[in-house]
Amino acid sequence: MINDTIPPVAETEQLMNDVMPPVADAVLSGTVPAPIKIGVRHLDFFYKSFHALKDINLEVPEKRVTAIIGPSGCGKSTLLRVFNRIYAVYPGLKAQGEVILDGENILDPRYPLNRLRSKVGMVFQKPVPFPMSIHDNIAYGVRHHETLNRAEMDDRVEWALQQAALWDEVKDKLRQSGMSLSGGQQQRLCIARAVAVKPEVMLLDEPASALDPISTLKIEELIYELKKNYTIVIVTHNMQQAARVSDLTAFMYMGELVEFGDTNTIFTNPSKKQTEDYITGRYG
Amino acid sequence: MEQIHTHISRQFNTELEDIRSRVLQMGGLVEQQIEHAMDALIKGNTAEGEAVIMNDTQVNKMEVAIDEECSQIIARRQPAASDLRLVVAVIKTITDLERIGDEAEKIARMAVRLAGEERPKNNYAEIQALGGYVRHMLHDALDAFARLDIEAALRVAREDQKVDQKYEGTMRQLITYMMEDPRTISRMLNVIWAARALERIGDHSRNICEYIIYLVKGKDVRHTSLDQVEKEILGRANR
Repeated sequence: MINDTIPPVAETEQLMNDVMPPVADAVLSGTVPAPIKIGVRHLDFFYKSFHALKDINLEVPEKRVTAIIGPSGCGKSTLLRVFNRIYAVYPGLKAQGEVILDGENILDPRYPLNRLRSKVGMVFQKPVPFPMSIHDNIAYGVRHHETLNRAEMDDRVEWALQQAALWDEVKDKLRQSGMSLSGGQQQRLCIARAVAVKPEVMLLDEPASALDPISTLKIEELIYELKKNYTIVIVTHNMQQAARVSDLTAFMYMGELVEFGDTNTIFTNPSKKQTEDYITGRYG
Repeated sequence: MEQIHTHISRQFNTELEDIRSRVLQMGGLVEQQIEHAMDALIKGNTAEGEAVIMNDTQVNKMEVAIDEECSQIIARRQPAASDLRLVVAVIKTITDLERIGDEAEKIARMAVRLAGEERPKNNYAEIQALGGYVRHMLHDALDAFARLDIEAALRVAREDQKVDQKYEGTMRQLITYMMEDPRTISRMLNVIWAARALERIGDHSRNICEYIIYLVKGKDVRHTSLDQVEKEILGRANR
């Protein structure tokens, strides 16, 4: 009787596999290695004489969310800013070492900044819509990189707004000023603007720290959607946010990369004492 | 031995310390329950047996209260890393403690039933020894929990094999009695139930030791051989 009702072990395993395809789950959860999108090798960074990043070595996998956490001043935003060389607009700042994007060193002065910016988009802590219409906010960056006719541009704007989960809320007021939107909408507008130029990497610097909890959740949901097509690096002060959205987590302290690994491991059983102290609030 | 370091939030620290000390308090109560249940069995003391049965509700209430406190910590503090493991280990530990409480209650019921019957000459010596052994095992497991001592936890977990051996020995002895004198069968069956309860307490104590290893080392060692655990846990360099 018992043998009739309970399938043998092998069959049970087959059943489990049918219900939960293990490989697909593992790929989505980031447990299967993905190709490396950005490779950081022996990176040092200086704000004039201040040594802000010290010998950073890190590999950011493709189509994954990598979170960088750490206390204020640890160098996490600096590291993010090296990834699109935005530091280069200020004098006295210097990066040494290599940041390899798709096999090319982006720190090489011969690497064209235009190409870098079209491949690597960035969203900042404070939403900064341009003082123009919602439509033009998005079209502005696209015009810089591509020549599209009007219909193509309209399509692109709609596509970007849909990617940023903002289309339904603004489709009837595309000619209104971007400044008229709420904070959360403005931030999604900025994400749409970054997405519109079809980058491969998105850098998010505290993208939700100025937003209310619901807008924050929308942004987090958006990050989850975006990682299907983009490699995302996010800097956040909010550790729960890093735990929620990222596949990998890097913990930095005083300009050094202390620990880098699978987010599940970092938040349940980090291997370094400094990481443990920071994420459990025993810091300082 | 590992120490829990102080949190920036003193309130959070207090909450974590509180659930730890309440687990130990619950463990202390459960230990007492086993002691009184065994005493009632050996001495044929009905009143003591009934007191143990009554006190089990106290154990159950403690389990519910600590569970509640753990849920609140998860909801309000979102613990991570060792704090998260502490809360998880506490939730699991109190489940085993509550079951140990149930086993003590079972022994007490057997004691009440046996109190009305003729007492054997050896005063149930065969399960007295097993009872003492199991009580020590639980005591040491709780001690290892209090000190977050994984070496002690491993040592105590190993004791479970000895408990199983002693249980087998006790069973053989009881079966011999029953074969020698079939009139003792109904009484001996009650004793067998009590011995079985003691053996289960050994299993639960071993579980608690596994939670301690999880709490301290972040490694889930359930369903792993102790030799394997020892190699992985103690062979690993301290961080």
